[in-house]
Amino acid sequence: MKNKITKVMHGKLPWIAALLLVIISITCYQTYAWFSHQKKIAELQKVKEPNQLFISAAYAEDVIYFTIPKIDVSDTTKPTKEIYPFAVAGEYVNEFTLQLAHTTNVPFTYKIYEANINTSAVQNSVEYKVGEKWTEFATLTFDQRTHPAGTMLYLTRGTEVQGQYLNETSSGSKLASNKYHEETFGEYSKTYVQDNAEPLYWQKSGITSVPDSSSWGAKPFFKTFVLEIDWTGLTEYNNKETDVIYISAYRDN
Amino acid sequence: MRRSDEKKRDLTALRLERKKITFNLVLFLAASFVVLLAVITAAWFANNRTVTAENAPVSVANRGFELASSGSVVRHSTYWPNADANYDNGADGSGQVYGTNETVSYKATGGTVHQVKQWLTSDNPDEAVEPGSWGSMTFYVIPKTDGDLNIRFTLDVRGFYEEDDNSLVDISTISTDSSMDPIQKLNYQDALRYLQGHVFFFETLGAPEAQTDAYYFEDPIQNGTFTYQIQNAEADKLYPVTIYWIWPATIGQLTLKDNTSHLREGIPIVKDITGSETEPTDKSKVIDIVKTNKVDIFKYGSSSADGVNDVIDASDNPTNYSHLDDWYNKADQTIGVYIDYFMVEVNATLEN
Repeated sequence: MKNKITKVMHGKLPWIAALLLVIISITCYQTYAWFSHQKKIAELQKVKEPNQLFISAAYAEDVIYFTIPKIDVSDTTKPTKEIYPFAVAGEYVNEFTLQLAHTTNVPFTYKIYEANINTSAVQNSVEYKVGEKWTEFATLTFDQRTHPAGTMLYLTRGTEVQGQYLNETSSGSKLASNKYHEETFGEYSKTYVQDNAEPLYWQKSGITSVPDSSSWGAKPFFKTFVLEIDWTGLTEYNNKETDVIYISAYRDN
Repeated sequence: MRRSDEKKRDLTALRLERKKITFNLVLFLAASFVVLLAVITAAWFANNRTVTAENAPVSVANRGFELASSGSVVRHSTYWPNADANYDNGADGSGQVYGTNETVSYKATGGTVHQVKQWLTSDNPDEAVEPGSWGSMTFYVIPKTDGDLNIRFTLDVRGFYEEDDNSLVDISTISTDSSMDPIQKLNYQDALRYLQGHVFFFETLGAPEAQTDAYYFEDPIQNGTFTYQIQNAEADKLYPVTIYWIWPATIGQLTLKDNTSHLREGIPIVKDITGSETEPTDKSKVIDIVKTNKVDIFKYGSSSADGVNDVIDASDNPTNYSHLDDWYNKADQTIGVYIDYFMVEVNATLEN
């Protein structure tokens, strides 16, 4: 009998038993404490999808290739207007808004037309050499890019995009009013901004992205436009003048 | 002779054994007692009971509380069941708002329900948030017994993406998903980190509509936690708590001390400082939060987070600003692309 007790008291059993008992007690107390005193209240928020539209070159190439070279008004042998192609490209949107903002140092007439893409030379077209797809679009596949890089395309003016200026001083004045001065310049007072540096804003909303949206299947797209700059009737300037233009696009839905 | 020696040896051995046994027994009892004492003490701390005594100058901590909110609608209610099925609508109740004559009906935690949704008086179901969005959560603490009440609030932001069948997947659960493309997994997890880094919490409204010197908030909540104390709380009264959150549109609204550099767009998140104020100011707290969480606020691309604290301190330098702005906006774009819904979770525990 003594031997048995000796064995049990010597063994690991009492230690294990004690340890187990303690662990169980602690767990019970801690769990009980946690349950009885932690409460939560929560709400859900939906995240808006970010704008996935870009301004690119005419065939979804890097926008760096969109250029407006120096315009020489004095050369009367050349036509008095020129068209410059660009595109709105990106993930599919149903409709989008196109905005043109420009300063008014030179009283050019700006118009935007949808571009018609031709594979052979056509009158009044601008030559355009297809470049590599923009790396920004690495994860997008454009079904519309049927011509490989190096193809020569001929772009002409299609339907005019009928937008309107939002802040002209009066219709046709080609001068911006103070209406959007704060949006453009923030706290910077109007007294420091020359009248022609105040940009004119032109917009058109509800532009459909693809001709037939129901069969398009919400795939990435690009829509090619041409910006027409017209200096008909302008006399020669002795001074160089520079204007800044911004083209931007925003999804409507 | 031999027998006596043997007996002596046996006796000594036996005495030694007994000593060992006794020693072991005492040790065992002592150890158990120490552990038991620790357990009881811990339980006592976690489970305070109110003691009422006549003319007692000291009141003992409150026994507990419920959380509640009042309103007729839960935002995005159809998405709740698959966002987190543990959240209950809450049990109906009504009570008086402390310090007023106003009685409100509410939905609250209680019994086995420990997690409830935030109810609102009105909701726009199409509402979606983007950089620049901000909002508030107003709920009630309802003490269960009289006495001082100290609560620790901890705020969490959970992110979800939506599947084709409109179900939501909690991004914190995808690490164990072996079928998901590892790059896609990383995209979601990065987006969640950036979301958690870009949502800032505050205790007090500032002056967002002010004509001059407008700013959004005061009292930044640091490390996602703050304490809330009611002295001599009354049982069953409703004590309102409001927390404010914002997803700032631009980094300048966070890190610029003022707008002398003219780099900032929009109003600052907290009051501008001149540098002569006593520290810490709200602005210095916000800048500290940005520095602490810089890995989760900026998408660096090939740059690293090293040395970025100095860049943040000198964010009024145009070159520095353009880097921070670019990194912040890239993180915003990632959030927008990968996160479809997020949850603001308010945890409340008794604090002593």
